[in-house]
Amino acid sequence: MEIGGYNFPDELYYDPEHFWVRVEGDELVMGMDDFAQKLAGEIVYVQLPNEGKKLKKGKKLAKVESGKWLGKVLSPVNGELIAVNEDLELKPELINQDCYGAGWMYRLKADDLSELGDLLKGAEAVEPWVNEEIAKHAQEG
Amino acid sequence: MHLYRLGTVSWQDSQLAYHALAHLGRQGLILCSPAEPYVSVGYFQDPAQELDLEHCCRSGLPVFRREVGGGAVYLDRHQLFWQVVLRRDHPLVSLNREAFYRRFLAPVLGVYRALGVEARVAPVNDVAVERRRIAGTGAGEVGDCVVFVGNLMRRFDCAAMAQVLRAPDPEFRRSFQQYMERELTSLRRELGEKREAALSDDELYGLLAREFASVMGPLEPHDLDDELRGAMERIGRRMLSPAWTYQPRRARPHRKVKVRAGLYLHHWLQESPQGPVEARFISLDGKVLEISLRGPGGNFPREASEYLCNSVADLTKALSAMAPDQD
Repeated sequence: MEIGGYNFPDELYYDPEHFWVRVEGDELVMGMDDFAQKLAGEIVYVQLPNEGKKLKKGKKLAKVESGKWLGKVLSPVNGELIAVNEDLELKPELINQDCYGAGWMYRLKADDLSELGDLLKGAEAVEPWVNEEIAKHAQEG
Repeated sequence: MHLYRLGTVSWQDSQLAYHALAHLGRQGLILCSPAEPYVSVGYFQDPAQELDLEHCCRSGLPVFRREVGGGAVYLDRHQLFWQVVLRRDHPLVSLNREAFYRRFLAPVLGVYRALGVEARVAPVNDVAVERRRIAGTGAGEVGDCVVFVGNLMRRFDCAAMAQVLRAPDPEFRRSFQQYMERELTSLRRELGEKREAALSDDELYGLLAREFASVMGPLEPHDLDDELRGAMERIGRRMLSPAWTYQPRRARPHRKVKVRAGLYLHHWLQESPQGPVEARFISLDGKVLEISLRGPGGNFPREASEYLCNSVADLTKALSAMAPDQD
């Protein structure tokens, strides 16, 4: 779905910290959403932690740098990091170019997939949240 | 909100204080200057790739890797630091980085303007006088806080900065220094030696405090208390360790150093069947201004350009887009 000029594919889950999550079998793939990548500007570095890293929901998974801003990527679930997108090491701009495709960031194994219920999914939940975020952040001048 | 007007402090404290404040989740503004020169690199930078570590070691220049973005920078007592620490949920903190930078660079512009220097924001977050950069800044999420740090440049030692950066050869280093001398400025350069020298650090800290209070609200003077000193010591054990500072990163295929917003010096080395092909060029806002190509034995065979352009997909496009009247 298109909300205020930002693309939010219907089939994905969204973390209020502006990361998306896609379910692939019993694994999760995550990345930065369109709103966050547009407001961040050019992504210049992405931290790619070692596979096997234990993840705690809401806690730092890695760091990302854009426009001289060093931001945090927070884990959307409890679990374990099982793979990273190695292409981002030398081409972090893939996040700007294709944040839901080639710019995916991490593959995770959740301890409990029911935690996805805490994320936002579907127009009914996503639209009001994005509109609120646009009002709060994107329209500042 | 607290104001920590620390004045001249050790180089370590000039970095550890704001990291400690942020890790404690305490908000405030720190004003300070380092007693000794040192080099600070961005969180994602590998000092071995960015710096001439032999020179730093010979010159007794310590290296610090901060938890903030941006590039390597030479810092000394002629730069007065301002360091803003706010909790991530503070209403003035925005995901809109441009708006955030505009808001928190306004006090810095205010100080320069109060001194008669017409400074402006050069996107993303540089401060410039006409086209010349007069302040470096960086931001990062540390603990549950956001920190935004920068400096008021009384003077800037371009030669020292050029010496600390790793350069493929002396020519690159000379060129970098020349560009910095042309494209960077300072209070001394803008006001003249006599007027700059007449300004006391106290006066400048006073102006910074006044201007930042207009954005952050009333600032209450506060000392480094035991909790903060304890956190600085604890964080220092980690951030002053070689394991933290010299954390290696995968080698970058090309060398690129920033002079100011949009202006970069590049050095690319690409293997071809005839031998290494080298390109050095200067780019401004994504366009190539000057380029020099060198092939094996000093020649640049036609075939070699293919290898170069394969690795530099946009080079040909950038060259054709170059405006003929650009200097």
